[in-house]
Amino acid sequence: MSYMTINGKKIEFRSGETIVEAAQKAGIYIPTLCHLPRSGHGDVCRICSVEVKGQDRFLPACSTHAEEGMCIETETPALIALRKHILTTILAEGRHDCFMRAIPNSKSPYQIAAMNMPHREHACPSDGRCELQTLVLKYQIPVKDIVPEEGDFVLDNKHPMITRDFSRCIQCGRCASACNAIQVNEAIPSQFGRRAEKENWLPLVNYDNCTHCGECLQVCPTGALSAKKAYGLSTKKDELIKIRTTCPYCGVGCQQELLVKEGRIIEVNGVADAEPNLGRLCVKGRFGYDFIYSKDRLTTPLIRQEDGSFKSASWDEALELIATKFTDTIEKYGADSVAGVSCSRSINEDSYQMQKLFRSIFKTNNIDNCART
Amino acid sequence: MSIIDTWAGDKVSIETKAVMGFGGVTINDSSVDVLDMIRAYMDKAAGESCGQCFPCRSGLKNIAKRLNALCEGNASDNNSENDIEYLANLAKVVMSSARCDIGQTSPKALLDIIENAPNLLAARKVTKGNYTSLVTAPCMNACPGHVDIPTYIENIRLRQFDEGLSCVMDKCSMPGTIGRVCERPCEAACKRGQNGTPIAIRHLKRFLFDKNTSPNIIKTEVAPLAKKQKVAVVGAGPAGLSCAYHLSKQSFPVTIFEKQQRSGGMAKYGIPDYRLPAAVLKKEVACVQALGCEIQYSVDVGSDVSVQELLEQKGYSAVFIASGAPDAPSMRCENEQHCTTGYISGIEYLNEATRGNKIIHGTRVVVVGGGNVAMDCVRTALRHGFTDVQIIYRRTELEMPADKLEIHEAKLEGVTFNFLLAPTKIHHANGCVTGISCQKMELGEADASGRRSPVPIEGEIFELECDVIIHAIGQKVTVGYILGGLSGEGNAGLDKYNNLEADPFTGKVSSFNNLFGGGDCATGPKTLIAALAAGERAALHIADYLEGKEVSASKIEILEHALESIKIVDDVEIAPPTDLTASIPLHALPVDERLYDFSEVEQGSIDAEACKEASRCLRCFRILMVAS
Repeated sequence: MSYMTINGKKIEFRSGETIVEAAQKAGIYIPTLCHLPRSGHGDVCRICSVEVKGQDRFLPACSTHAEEGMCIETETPALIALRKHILTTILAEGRHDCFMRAIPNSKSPYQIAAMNMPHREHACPSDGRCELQTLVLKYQIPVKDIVPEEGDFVLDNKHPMITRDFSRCIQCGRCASACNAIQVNEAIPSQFGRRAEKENWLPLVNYDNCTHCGECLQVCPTGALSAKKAYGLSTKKDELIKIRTTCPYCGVGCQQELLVKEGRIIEVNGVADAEPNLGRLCVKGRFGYDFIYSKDRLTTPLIRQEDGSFKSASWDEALELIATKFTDTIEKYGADSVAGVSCSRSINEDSYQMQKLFRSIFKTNNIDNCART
Repeated sequence: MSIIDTWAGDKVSIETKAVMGFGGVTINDSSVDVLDMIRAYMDKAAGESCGQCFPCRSGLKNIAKRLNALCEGNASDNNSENDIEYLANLAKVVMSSARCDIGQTSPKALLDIIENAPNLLAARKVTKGNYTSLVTAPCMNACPGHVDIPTYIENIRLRQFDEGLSCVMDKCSMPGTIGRVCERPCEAACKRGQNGTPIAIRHLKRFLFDKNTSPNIIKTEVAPLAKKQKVAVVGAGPAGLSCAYHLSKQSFPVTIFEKQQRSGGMAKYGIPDYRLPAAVLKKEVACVQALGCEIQYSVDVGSDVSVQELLEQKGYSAVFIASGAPDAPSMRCENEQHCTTGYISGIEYLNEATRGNKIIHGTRVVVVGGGNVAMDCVRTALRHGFTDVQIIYRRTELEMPADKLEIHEAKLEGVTFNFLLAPTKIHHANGCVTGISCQKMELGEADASGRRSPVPIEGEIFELECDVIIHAIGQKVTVGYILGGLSGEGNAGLDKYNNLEADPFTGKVSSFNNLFGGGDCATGPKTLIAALAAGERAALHIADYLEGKEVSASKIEILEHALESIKIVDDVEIAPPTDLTASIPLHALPVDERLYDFSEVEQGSIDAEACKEASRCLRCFRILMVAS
């Protein structure tokens, strides 16, 4: 183990850890904004700058490796001034019009229309859990004095599930990194490059490559990228329940975190540090949850009558009927006359039980799962 | 007497009215409007910012914006002092927190002015001056071709592989070859090297080339051969190919006349396949041809056709001579002339070896020399089945000009190195080599090249038995016969060493208008990248000549040249923090699998390794601006 000092406190770290990682383990908070540990993306916003003894300039904690004997300060007046400066500039560059700040005529017709839809409470889809907003509050930026810079902002609203509102984009590059390094769809080209060539560049999507996985949504620290379905629904942390579950769509078993309010799913995200998906989700896992609220959804078993119509039945009744039919068929035609196909949306354990049922009770190997292909 | 001079470190040796840049500010002439120049400088810096770190992206933009307002005569609240305070604060923030040296070094000029002469920044209407600016970096500055290294490395980090390759190919038309065999002066200049391993710049270039699997790597749409004036290029070596590539890109019809049967010159006939597979060169040559360039093989300009005929009868408007240095000087030792078998030059040996011929026989070979050709000879001899392969070099390993990696690999493969030995006499029987006598040496005073020169130790002679002696002690230029009748009487167009007398900037051969040249035939044997650079520069000036413009070195070229001689990274600068990201693992064929054939020894890398290596780059960009 190696040791270094942060804010006068001696902490230990393992070789190869960054300053942020080491500080986190020791319970020391260093703010970050652009940092996306899963993709190695960082070193952009400089909010995490720290003072390292012996260096003539600040170093970014998210991408500087911890070294034996390093002496680090994380909250000096100079650093706080730097963070305030950065946050102020970000606020001036965009139209960050959350509750802290009323910018005249800043809301686009799209935002106004969205706000007028039922259940919509906030103009910004990220209000209450925006990472920029959190930092602005923490560092008490005098937002009212900030004069917004002039600028036109693109609104990309063509996608069926995602809205890209660049008036709230801070150009942190997380979405591009998530698309290119995590999902490797390479649909969002990086916006970095000489300003003389790329000044007004925005992370617009090449929809030919896009698989609509929504990874970019999950990593956006502000409200620039948002799910249409969730727009304006409450996203305040204290109003939401987080439920961890397994994605029911295929056999991979991705871990999901549902954000639920009053029994309704508002958003689905991947669980960052859980196998097997490590935070990733596909288009089905992230956006395909509307069916749970479908009016056509069956809520009880139905038994077909002689005349072809269905009669609703209890589970006992239905299972009893199925058991009788299976037993009769097997007795009459042998065990191989029946076959089972386990649904790919059932979890691994259920599929296991299904094959157990067919192999050891029915005595047939006719068992498969439609996720196998 | 300078009006302001805050420049720290080595000065740029150039006559100019004013310099602004990474080292500070020097104003020599009162006619320079400092406010306008710093505005132009900060505009340039803001344009170079990569847009990643917030302080630099927004800071430089805002500095430039405020300076532009001052140049319009608009001070905020009618008080320039507020503006100056604002600018100073912003400059300090950017310098203390920017990610790379664009933000960390460029506001220094502004701060220096604020500190020394804030009154010069008072708001007023200015007249815009003429400035020349240059963006460089230690690696770019060290590279003879000034390839924009940090930019393509950044492209790799951001997984923009196609953009990266086209960035390389803007300057260097043979990225696959250079990515394998360049002498990499860039890596020696890399700032990471001060405190760890330099970035594997050469290897990353090779990665970009290998990564591109499309049959034709050129994507830019050019109208081929749209222009009328034809250009002839003599020699399809690196300089010739490079010149043809850059001329073709500007739509000039180019014909290359090559004496041999394949393109590539020394890269083809001097570098064995285990270092540079033939397929790499083939792809690069195809790239030049795809631009519309024609290559005629087995034409020896000077004997089959003269330069004069090309210009006067065949309708070429200009000729570029890049005939290289294809001959070997003699070793000047006793009995040299009596040996018919077993005594050859390294160049000849490699030339035949790359054609698949083995022209020497036996088991024991001695190679004389310490350069890369000597290394290529010994490693080729091992692959030809020689079991006892020895090197004789008159200084020590430290002074050897060969690439350190080559020396290391040669040792691994089983070459014996003998240092401080100079050959004096060849032993022979019936015209066949039987051995060599060498004088033992010791190191004396440093010579002009800075290396300590060897001095003989009286009476100490060392004898070595062998079947073959290969001398690899240099190359010779034979350009005179190519000029042929053109020279008239005397040696017009040749310098005192009988090299082509070509202008180092423009490539124009003295006393001719339409004759250009470059590469080894003009400079004597130099590096591959230097030849590529000469070809590229000459192409620009040939185009100028054909379009009726004046052929002279551009301001940027003069500036680049002036910078080459100074260290642009200051010694007093704090070395970068220790880099714990492991440098890229270089994969090589296992030694016991190498010697059976000429398979490539060094292997490529996968995306993840290259991206990780690229993320180690510190982007030590430096921006310089001069007033003219």
